[in-house]
Amino acid sequence: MLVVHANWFDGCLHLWGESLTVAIEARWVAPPTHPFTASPNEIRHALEASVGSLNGAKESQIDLLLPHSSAPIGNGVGNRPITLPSSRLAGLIGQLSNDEELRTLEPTRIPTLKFAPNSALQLLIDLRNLEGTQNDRFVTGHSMHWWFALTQFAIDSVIDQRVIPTVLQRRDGSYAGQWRPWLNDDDANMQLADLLASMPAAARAIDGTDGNPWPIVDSFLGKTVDAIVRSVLVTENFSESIEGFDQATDFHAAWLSGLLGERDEIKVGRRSPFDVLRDTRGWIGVLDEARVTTGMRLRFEVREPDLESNDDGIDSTWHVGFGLVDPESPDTVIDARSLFHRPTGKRASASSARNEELSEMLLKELARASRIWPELDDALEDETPSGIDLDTRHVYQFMRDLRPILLEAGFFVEVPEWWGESASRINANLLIDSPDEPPRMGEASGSNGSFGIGLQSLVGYRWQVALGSQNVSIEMLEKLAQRGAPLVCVGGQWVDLRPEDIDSALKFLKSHPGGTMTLVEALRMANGIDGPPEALPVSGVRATGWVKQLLSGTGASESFQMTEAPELFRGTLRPYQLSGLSWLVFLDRLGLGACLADDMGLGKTIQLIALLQHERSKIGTARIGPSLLVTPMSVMGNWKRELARFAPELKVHIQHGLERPAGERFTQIAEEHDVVLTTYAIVVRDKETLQAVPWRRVVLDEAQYIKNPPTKQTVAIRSIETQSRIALTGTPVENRLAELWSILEFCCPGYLGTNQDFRRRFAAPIERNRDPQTSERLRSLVRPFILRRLKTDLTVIADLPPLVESRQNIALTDEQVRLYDEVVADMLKKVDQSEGIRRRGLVLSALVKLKQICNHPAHYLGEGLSDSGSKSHSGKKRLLEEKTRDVDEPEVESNSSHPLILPSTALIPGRSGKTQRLMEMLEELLAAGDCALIFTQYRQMGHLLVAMIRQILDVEPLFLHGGTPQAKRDDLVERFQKGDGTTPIFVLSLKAGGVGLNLTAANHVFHFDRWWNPAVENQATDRAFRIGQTRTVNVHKFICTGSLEERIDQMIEQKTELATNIIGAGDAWLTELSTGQLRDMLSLRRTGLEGGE
Amino acid sequence: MTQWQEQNRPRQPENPRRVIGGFKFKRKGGIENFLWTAEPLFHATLIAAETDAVEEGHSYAISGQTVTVIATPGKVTSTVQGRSSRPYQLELSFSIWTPEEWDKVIAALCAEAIFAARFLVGEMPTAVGDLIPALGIRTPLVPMKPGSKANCDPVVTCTCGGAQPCKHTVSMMHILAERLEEEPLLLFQLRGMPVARVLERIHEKRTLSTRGENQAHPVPAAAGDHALVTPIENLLHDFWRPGRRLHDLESRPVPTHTPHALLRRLGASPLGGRFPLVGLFATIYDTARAHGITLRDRESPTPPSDE
Repeated sequence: MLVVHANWFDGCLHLWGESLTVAIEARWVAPPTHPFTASPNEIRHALEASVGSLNGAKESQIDLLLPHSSAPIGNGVGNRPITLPSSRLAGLIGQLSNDEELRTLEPTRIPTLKFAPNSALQLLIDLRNLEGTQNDRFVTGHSMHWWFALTQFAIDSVIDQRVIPTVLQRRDGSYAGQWRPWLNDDDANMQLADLLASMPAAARAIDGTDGNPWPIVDSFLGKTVDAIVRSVLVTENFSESIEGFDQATDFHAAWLSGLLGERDEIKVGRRSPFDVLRDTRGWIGVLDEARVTTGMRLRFEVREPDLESNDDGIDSTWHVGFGLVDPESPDTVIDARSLFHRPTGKRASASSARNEELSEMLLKELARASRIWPELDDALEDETPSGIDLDTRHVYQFMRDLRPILLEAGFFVEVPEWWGESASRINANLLIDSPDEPPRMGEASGSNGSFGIGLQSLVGYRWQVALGSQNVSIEMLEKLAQRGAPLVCVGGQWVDLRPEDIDSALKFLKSHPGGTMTLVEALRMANGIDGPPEALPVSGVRATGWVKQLLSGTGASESFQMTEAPELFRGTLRPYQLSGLSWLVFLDRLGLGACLADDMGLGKTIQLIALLQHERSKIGTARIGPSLLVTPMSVMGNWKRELARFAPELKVHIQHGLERPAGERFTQIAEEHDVVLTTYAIVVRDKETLQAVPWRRVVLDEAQYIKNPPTKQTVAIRSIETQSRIALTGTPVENRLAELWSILEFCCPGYLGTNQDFRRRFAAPIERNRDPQTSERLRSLVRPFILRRLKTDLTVIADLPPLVESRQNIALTDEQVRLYDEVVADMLKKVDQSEGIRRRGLVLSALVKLKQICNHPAHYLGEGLSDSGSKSHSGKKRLLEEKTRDVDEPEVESNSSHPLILPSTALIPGRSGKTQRLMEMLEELLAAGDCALIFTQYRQMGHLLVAMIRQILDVEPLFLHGGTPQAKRDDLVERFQKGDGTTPIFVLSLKAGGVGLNLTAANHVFHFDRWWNPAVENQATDRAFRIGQTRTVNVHKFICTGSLEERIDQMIEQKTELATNIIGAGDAWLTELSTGQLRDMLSLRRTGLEGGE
Repeated sequence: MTQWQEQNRPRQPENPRRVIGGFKFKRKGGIENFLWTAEPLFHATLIAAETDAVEEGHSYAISGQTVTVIATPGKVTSTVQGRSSRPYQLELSFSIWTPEEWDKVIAALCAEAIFAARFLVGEMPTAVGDLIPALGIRTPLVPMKPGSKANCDPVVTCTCGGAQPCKHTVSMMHILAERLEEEPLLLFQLRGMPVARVLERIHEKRTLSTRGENQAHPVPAAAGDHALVTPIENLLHDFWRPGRRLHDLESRPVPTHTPHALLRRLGASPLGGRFPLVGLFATIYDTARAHGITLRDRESPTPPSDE
């Protein structure tokens, strides 16, 4: 496995790689050569499987300045600095973080594969397209993403025809032609600024340079854009066009010789090649005139003709008036007419001098504009040009074709308000008829049984074509088509009437007379899929009855029927939760799938519980099928607890564990319950058993679990038949297209088309071309089925308290259970035989061990960890290996004795319920752009978490603990508070980070392990929840179900007498308990949820 | 000297016809010690001329018999009034540098900033004279072989038909030498290029080129905005990831495409050829766009799938 990086040097792309295997074995002692780079052959081998042959690449090398550590952790590396792995590699191998180290830049020689511009570009595109796909030979380093963006920028400039033919004078005095992007317009300059500002240090750390991004970007853009343009000009033999012209006498021919052919050299005869350079400069400089010119700018104003009421305006005369504006304050317009009007009276002479100056400016500007718009020359024949008259056809051309170019060139062009509005185009309206009352579940019996309605229910529809806001008949359209006018006034409103639009409108109307179709067809058509051709925009969908409700969603309250909170609900639903419930009830009743995607912390769980309860109370004792609730193992405990808390009357069966029922027995049990709770893993294993039950609904929690379409899990879950389907997720699904398709394919099968179809129609245009129209169309298409409220939404914010606390009840994994039982048994055996200090010591050490086990087995076993941060091989590790040899344990190998990296076994989140859950929650909140503090009592656990977060989530967390020097602390706090999204996660040890710091950038606080004293926890929480905090702070307390953590939590919650003893006393009170009390206190209470997936 | 004084000069029949407003040689140091830019040509002329011609030429020069001296690239023409009623026409043809030689000269003159600075105040640094042979150019900066033969520099002809250098030549050489001393840059003109053009080319070359590299397009504003860039030394803990502004870039809306927008703003080409440039460019831009789209939507080799 390689981590692939790129640099641009000497006009070529240099690809290089870090070898993961070498990094794990090597000692990293560095300069002058990099200790763990891949050889060019290894890079070739790793890439060729994915991107095809790299025959064009040559072996080469570059010298980079790379970060080194001069204060290495661990021993045996001497005094020489060690080369630090890239951030990507650090995550993959589980590098220990060490914030005391001193980092320096050292020149490092690196072997590379070198690509010429043309093949470099193709390679970068291929690598970009591979992003996000699985690959066991290489991953791309973090800086590659920036190179992809630069590549895209280069290609876009060619596609958008924003390239210029320039002339370069080389160092040796020779002259060359080059195609390159024009970067001086505001848009391009802004994008360039983004690229320069975000260029990673690694991409510009070329030894011998000052690290300035521009020369590299300049060379890259010049070379690659030239390669794109030139390659196609050569293929299509453009140099034929200058054959027969004498390059020695004809400058154009000479200049073009360096632009059209394979060779870029410009050879001019007797005259100085510098003249070509100078003249080209003058020509290109025209583009920049507006920026360079100071003073007033020319402003055009299109004035509509006055029309009689029944005039269609096709033959009328428009006026384009001239004026001057100061670009700094474009609202003040000086009309050209006033300039040529001679003032009289006392102040005449002063103002006429000013007038003369202004009219000269006007004439200059007019001359400048006439280069773009030659017709202006006619106006200039007039001695006092104040405007130009145009007929309807020409004014249309002016507004459509010339306006954008004039605007770009720095002129101001004022057009009537209706211009460019979709309402002033010819457009189509879809009318959907449906009854007020939606069809009830089970009434409509479609061909596919219980899943009869929903997307397949039939609705009436017809199309209507409108010009502006006026509906028009086919006859009227035909009449207009005959006149062939581009602009027409209909009922006092001007309409942009492109002849091609009329044609497609006519064709479409004739082939779609109206009738009935399925809801899914209607919705797809309404959003321009399988609908009218693009030239005929769908301006709106008007619906009656329940389809109207479906389309308007919860947003329009007057049309949406609200549901009341179920009577038995033991709690209060906030207003937005109530509207969420109503929405779920509505879709559920129609048999339509729903995706509830509220931000984390808004209570998706209780909205779903309320739905289940609502249904039960409506139906009374009548029999309905059970609901299947599929969750990740890590949140099962939570569901169980929340169900019991808010809806204790619902009968819940947990399908989990080795002894779970199967076959007919399961069907019977399922039908006796309201809810069957199970995990994703069990769905795969018990597919047949689950398929046999006539489910009322299937609900997926953390539905992002099925984001990868081809997995067994996804297939198994989709194969379960049910009347309705609900997905819960906290990630912003609309922006993650693969996930969106996958989740909607579960909720509304077939709605978004096949995956391939979806990629072609939506994902590619949105992701690659950032096409806003496609993006909007997709949003509108999925809007009826996705409800996502953000914590920042105004409607939500009013309902939210500033602090929301929740408990995460987390089940222990098999490995944790085994270790836990072992420690308890061992301790109980020993305390019986000892007394006094020895007994106390035994209890205290057992307590620590149990807490460590709850955190992560690697924490307890000391895998790769000790206080100094270096790896220790403890006997406990061997103990585990012996014990587990005969158990069905995931195969983990300890693959490293490297002093700086953690063994891969330590980094498996699935070994601990807590880390598993933490990773899930962090992923979700990162996707939403939130920031989090994670408190733990243990520095070692902090190390584990940091490495794990890096590896699993690919972000660089900050880490503060007791050993962090003060200066470093300030730096960490400052970086976190910057809130720029680069460091969204901060891991802190409770003692070092629990007081004094101001960390209001965070809106999530995790208490990864528990402290006896709630005051200490609250103090830590207050790092984020304090003055300066503007958002709701979500506090997540992690508790292992059945363990001593839960016991202690309950005692604190119930404020028992014992609890008052606990608080402030640390662990000491426990040591005073009798053996029996200890057994009661510490033994694991089985809940049936233990065991991993 | 005023017209009145001219009129009151005693009349001498032996003398040439009086000239009103002619160039009079009135150098303070007389004919001694001309500067290096003028001395060689003047000196060579005096040595080659007969004694009579020298003396008469000298007095011609002082009394202002030289009516005109006009320098054009590579040439000096002059009119000198003698005894005859019609003034004599002189023509001096200097050896000129070829365009290639001029390219070398300009390049060499640009290499040192001090040259350009001196030229601007009208001075000719002595080093320029030494520079020319060093560039392998056989014609020196300062001409020094006047005569009537073809290989002379300059080749001198006079309508008096006498042996060269004649007294008329001597007379005008006084005036030319005085000019070459005061305006040494005139030497460039004698070698074939107007002084103004030399200065222009040097200026262009110097302001437009840095370290010999140059380009026809302007540098975008963002390129020089150092506030944008964080020094590498300050990024040791965040060395590999792109900065935050990449996200800004990716969320910026794509501007709508206007066909040939740039080309239309450029307008007609400035290079005076007969070539139909704009039409060709329109085709080029369309071809390139189509190719760009193919490239962007390029179907890359499918990754290994786990299906």
